[in-house]
Amino acid sequence: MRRWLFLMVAVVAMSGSSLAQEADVVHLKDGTTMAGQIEVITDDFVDVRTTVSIGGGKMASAKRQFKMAQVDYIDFAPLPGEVEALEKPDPPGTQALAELWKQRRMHVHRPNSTAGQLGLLVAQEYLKSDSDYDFKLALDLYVTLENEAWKDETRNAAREGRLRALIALKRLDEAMAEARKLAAESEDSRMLIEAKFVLARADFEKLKQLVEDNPKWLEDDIVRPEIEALYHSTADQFLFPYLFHGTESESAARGLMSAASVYSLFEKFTLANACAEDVIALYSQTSHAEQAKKLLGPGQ
Amino acid sequence: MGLQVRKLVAVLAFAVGLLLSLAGAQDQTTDAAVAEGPAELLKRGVAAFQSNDFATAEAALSQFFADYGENPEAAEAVRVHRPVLAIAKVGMKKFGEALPLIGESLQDPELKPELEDELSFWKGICLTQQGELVAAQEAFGEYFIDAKHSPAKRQEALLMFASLYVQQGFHDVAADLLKEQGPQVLKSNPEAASRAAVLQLYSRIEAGDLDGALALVREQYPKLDEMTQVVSFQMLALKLGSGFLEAEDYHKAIACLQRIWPADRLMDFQTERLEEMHKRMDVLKARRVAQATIFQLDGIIRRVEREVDNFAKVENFDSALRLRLATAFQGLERYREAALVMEGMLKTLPADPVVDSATLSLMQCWMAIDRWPKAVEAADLYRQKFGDDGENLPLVLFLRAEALREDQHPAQAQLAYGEVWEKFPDSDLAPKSLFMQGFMYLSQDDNEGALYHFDQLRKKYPDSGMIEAADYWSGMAMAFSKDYEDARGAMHAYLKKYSAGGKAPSYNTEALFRIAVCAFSLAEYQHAIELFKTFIVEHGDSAESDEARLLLGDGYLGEGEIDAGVAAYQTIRETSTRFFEDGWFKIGKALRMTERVDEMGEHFVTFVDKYPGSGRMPEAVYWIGWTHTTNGEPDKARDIYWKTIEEHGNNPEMFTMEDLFMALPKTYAELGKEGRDDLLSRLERMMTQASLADDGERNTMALRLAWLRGHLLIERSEEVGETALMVATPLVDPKVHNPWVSVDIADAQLKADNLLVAKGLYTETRKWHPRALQKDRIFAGLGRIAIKQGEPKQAITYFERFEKETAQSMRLGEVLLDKAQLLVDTEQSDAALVTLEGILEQPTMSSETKAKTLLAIGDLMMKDKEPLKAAAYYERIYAMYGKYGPLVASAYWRRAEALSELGEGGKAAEVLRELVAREDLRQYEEWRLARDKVDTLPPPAPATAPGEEATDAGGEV
Repeated sequence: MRRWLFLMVAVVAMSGSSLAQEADVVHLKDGTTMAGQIEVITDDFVDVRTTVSIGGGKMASAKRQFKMAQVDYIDFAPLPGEVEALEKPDPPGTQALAELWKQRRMHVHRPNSTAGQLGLLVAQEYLKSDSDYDFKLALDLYVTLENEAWKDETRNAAREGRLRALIALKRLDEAMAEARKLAAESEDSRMLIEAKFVLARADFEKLKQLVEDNPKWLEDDIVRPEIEALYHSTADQFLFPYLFHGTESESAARGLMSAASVYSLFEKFTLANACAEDVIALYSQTSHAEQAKKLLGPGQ
Repeated sequence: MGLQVRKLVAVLAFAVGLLLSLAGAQDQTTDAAVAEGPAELLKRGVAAFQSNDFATAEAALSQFFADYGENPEAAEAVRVHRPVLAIAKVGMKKFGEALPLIGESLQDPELKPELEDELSFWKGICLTQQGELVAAQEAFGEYFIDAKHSPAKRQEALLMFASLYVQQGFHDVAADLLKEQGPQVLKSNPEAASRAAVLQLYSRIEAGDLDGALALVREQYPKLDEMTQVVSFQMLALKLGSGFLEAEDYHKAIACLQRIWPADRLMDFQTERLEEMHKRMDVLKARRVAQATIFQLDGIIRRVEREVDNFAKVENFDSALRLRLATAFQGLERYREAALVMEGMLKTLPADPVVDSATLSLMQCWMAIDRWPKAVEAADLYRQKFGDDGENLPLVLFLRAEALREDQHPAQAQLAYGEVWEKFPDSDLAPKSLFMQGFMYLSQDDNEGALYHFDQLRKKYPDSGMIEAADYWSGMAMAFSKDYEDARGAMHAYLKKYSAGGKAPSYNTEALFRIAVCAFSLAEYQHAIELFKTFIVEHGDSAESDEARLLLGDGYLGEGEIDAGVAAYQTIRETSTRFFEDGWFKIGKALRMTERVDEMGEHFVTFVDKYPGSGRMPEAVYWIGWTHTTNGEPDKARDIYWKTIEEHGNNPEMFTMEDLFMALPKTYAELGKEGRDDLLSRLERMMTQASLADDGERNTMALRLAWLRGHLLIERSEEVGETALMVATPLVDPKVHNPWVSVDIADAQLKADNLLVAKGLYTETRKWHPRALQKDRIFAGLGRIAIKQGEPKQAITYFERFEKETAQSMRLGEVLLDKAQLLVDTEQSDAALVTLEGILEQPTMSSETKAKTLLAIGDLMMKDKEPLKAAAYYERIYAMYGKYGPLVASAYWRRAEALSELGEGGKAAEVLRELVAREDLRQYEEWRLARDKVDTLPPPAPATAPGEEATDAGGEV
């Protein structure tokens, strides 16, 4: 019996056939693959059960254990609804995603696992909410992904998401410290833009608070320089993508409209309108064009 | 075609070769001199053709055609080899010779389709090369239309067709063709599509369809990394952007310029693509594919190589590109954006002439939006980058000095101006810099420094246009130094020197005014009167004229001509508020001096009526009251106060009313306690009336009445008075009311430990009145609240703001003492000591504060186990500040403790005895403790006889 099992396993492994679509597929470092159902998986080994037809309508099954050191990566059979969730532009909703994530969570560090993508989608949904509780869930999820996801891209996206979650939670000091670190380390322009945007937003929040606390700041010799410096640095930061990555349309337009908000806070409406005009002239296809039109009023 | 055509040629050649073998034999017999017969010629030609040796192939086949072409027996061989010769001639770039062969071959009904395909394409190329553009276009058109032709070559044919339009100057047609046909035809070939994009962009620009060109630039930008001729495309985009810039179409220029890569990226990418093309060429050659493909690729490679060579020669590409972008922003008057782009250039690009000159624009942009620190930063970056080699260094340094001056840093600006002329004495900017350096001295009240620099300017740059300003300001510097005689002389000299040629000196008006002021300041009143009169006549509309009228009045009064003085004051224009009010009050003074009391009263009544919002209104009311008192009608004096209070006391904006309220008790002073009681009763009555007002609009009046009542009661009992102030809390709105009132109430609340109410009032008052005189009390109060709320860090922050923002406050000492105590409490002894020593160093601190500080330092030393030092500090208190009883008593007691800790029991006992001997300290606890202690000590040892050693008989204290 033992001998038969060995042969069966060998046949499946060699042929690489009978890779049913819904099977888990273990890819070994020696280039061979093993399709079947993963019964047990740990960080040390994986047990795969394969089932093959042996003619006459009979089926035979075999179980094989691999040390994880032998495994290159695993293609896990998709869960019900998983493919749709990952491929469709509109995710199926937080609850369904969270369920998928829950089932995939244990594989987040395993190469080729989709857990990271699912985790990002769930966190993104949490961030769309307006509750601090959900923001906290998003933050925790991003931290998990940042620490454990197998893919660099996922970890980077999680780091970016963590910034957004910190801002949503109004933990601005932490967000700013993180964004500064990110801006200093990152060579990826998208990450840099995001990090700088986070810094700018945090500064803008601080600026608004300062103005609110000091309505007569223009008469205040001490607060005035602080507000003026922050006003300028915030506007400068918001304009960064427009001036230095102008083809990143969404980011550039977002920065311009944010700069317009800074100008509006200080009643510099000519400058605010100029930003909106830039958006309409240069980024009319972006999601910020509508806001720009509103700012400029009827006729635009 | 490629391999198939080549195979076909080989097969045909083999068949024909057999046919001609006979003819070859004949040749051998007829002409022994000929080395090769027709068969050999064909064999050699075909073999050479197959190995791409077109020269040999062409020579052999041409020889065959020349020798046997007319031979009917060779007709088939000629038919078969004509296409081969045609292609070989093309390979030799003999396009003109190839054309008839191609034409004849294409007439051949037996011509194989593969050869027909190849030759039809070559026909177009040969015609193009021969300059027969229309015919060539027709050839390519026909090739393209025939769907049987090679799809890849049909794509090339379309490109050639379009490029022939371009060559004929039909740019718009070419562009439209490429736009309409390109996407569909070239869908499967991104490489060809990218060349089509380059051609289309060129055509659109040439056709003047710049918007179309911009749309193409936008469309192609995401596909740049698929492009073969990326340098070409980007250079065209740069040209387009520059065109928009010149046409002042700035947004379009920005859209274009944003889509141009930096030079390194462009060059790296293009070089990589070129290498790929070379590899492809090698592969094609090795595969012996169709000559047409090789020819096309070769053409592209050569074109790209040319472009790369040309691009490599472009100097300062990145900086010029960024400068164009910045210029577009400047064109939109977006100075921040322009500056940020140029700042990026300065920070990240290598030093080049474009960056050098852009720095000037950068500084000007920052200065245009008043970002002086950024302008200074740009200058410093420039210096770091270019060192002393910067082409524009003198101007950059001068602008740096200007920015420092504008940013109110005269001391730094003075040094910066100095650096310009010292480093660049021959620069055009040197004289102005030297002058400005002097002017900066002047602005810092260093008149001697200013005079020295103006003098240096005269010596170093005697021909400079700045000398005139230096001469005038030298006179001013003397005047500021109260050296009126010399100032007057300097002004006269100035006027004389620069009045030549009928031209008025630049500072004519100012100099004339100053001369008159000097005469006045020298008490030459008569002379000053004449000068001011003349000045007013000749410069009546000048900025100085109202001050001249005021001084003219003063001059008359100085001469005892009171009526003339009053008349002069009356001519001061109301628009010069300060001089006008000064004049008004001086008229009042003149009336008082001439004992025209009633007239004086009327005069000030008019002022109060006309200018109730003036800051000097309460002063006017005071003088009205004074006239009544002088006339023996004190009741009327009080009435005028009450009348004014009734009229304006409810107006929260009139902050001078508080002064008037505070002056009210003085009018009751002569009535003694009874008067005070009357005043209090009246205040209470009015408070009730004000609070009962239905519309609630008398709150400000009620508040002021309550506030004054509180102050009056404080004089009787602090506690009662402060309670009265607290009662006014619901009436106070820190946003609108005088901070004096709000802070008084907040202080009272703080004393009563109503921390939240007090904090709210302080915070709101500071928020709405950031320049309030009471800011010191606000920060002190907030700090003390923080202490009480157990937030020492917050308290220290408030105390630091106190130090920073209200350093001149009389309360500074007590706040610093509180801060030091907080630092001690939070285990920051070093910082505490620095703070305390800081108090001792300040000459304006009161003696009591200094005594408290010494006591605090002593305590700190004791805490730090330094009793010796502590004892010294304690001793200084009773040695130097003996009048502060409680402090002195504590100092004695604590010094005794310190000495005891040092094991100096005898000295400690001495100190205690000294304390007990001070009868004036008997009321303090320390005195009683010392007395009790002394009672337990043995009597002091007798004086030590010479030669005997002193013994410490004091025991432990």
